[in-house]
Amino acid sequence: MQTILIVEDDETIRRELAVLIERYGFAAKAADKFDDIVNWILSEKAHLVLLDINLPYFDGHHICREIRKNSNVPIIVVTSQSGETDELMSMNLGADDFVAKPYNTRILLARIQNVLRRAYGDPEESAEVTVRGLSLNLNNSSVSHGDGTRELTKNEVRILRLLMAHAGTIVSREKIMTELWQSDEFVDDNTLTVNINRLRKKLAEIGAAGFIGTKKGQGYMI
Amino acid sequence: MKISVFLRDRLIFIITIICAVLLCGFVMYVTGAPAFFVFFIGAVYVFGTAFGLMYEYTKKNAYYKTLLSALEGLDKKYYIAEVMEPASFGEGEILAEILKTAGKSMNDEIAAHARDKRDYREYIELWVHEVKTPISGARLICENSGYDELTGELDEIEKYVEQALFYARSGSVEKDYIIRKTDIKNLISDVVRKNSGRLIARKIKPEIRAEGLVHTDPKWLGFILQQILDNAVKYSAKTIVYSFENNILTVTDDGIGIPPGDLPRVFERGFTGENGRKTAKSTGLGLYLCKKLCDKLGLEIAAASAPNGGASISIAFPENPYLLHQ
Repeated sequence: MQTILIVEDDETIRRELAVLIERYGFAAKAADKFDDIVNWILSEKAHLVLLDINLPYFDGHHICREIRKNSNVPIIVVTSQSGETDELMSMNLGADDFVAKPYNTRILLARIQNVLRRAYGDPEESAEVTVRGLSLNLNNSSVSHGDGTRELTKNEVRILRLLMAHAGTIVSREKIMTELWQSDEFVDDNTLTVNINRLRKKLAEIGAAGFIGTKKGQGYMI
Repeated sequence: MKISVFLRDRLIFIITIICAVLLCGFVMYVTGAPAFFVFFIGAVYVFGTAFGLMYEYTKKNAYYKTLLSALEGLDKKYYIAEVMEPASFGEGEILAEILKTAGKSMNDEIAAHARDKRDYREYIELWVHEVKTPISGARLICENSGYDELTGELDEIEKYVEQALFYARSGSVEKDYIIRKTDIKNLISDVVRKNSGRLIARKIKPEIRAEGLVHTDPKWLGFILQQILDNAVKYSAKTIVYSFENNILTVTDDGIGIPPGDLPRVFERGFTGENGRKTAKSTGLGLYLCKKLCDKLGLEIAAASAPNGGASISIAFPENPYLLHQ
């Protein structure tokens, strides 16, 4: 499991960020003392550091520079300073990415995953998701059940992945659309229906008919 | 200075001289002086006075003319005391003294206001910066605890906070943007994605047919696009089409549109228009800010009615951005 360090002085954000990160399959560790923060970060040997700029004792820029003297750990600067100079400065000091507060949690997670992938390559374990005998392979976008295997389109993978991640709970059409909108395609209601129908047909072909249930007026459920 | 004005100011003096000449002439004539002698004395008086007046007029006229043309050439008129030449006559000296004192007090006043304005702007920027931390916290709590209904409200708060920041920036003379090569499609996608919750809930379909590169500040343009999208949503659009041709980005919606009579005024501050009053949600700030920011960025923004009755906002980017910002 990859460990992410949270260097942030606001207690609420620290706590909630840790919850969010752990939910998505990472280990989170937060600093609560800032007087010797650079040594703490270095000694933790984490996979990634989320770094705020406005901190007690030393500011994020200083910390960033000090870490880079000894370590190449990926750093994402997270700050509410919206100025251009801050972003440029962070990048110049060796940060890997910059996210402005208040961030969209999806965007923050996507950035974390991107930076981790760039630094350590694709993680092996999360490439396949299995629910009730149906496995979704994220590396080659295919779904298999028993002996049958079918290729899926990008949207179909996204839909199935979301439904499988929330197996046992109802996922609303709006939520699925929001997920699909994170890519460059802004699908509408009809397209979503078409996508769902195609996905169901493919699942039926490999003997998983009825895998995706419809909750009328509420959404879909696996 | 018109000669008639000059003479009017000296009317009493002139009348007095004429009366004195006539009186002296009459007395000399009565006491038996020859007519030639009387006319000669009269003429010397009249011409002498006229010469003196002419000399004074020429001098003052030249001075005031220079002063007026200096004033004409000044961008900030209150600096006139700094550039005026010293006068060679008493009235001019008094005038110069008055202008100098008035100008100085004006400068002090302006400096005080400028300082106040800068302080206030700095406070707004700091405040926006500070308030983003609790908003982030609230967002994370929503995400972790599943308060999906609150996310929309947080989006609204964030929008207004952002507007305050750009309002503060739009009024300042400082240049706080960075012009960069920006992919217009990515930028539009980001704005649309940020609004995905609202758009999906209202079944509004964005169509992005814009592709290309522009030179601008992506954050500022993103803010401008956000205001335009807000308006489309507010005025019941069902589709929002983005297109980019000949360096002009056009956002067309199929909402209730802008009445033709309101079109020329939509960029005015506080102008809400017929439809704004009907929906009662208009602040008259969105498009005003767009216009101000576009002016600062060197972009041209225009509003028009779309053929289908909706609104169409277009932003023209300069052909050569390097020429513009030098």
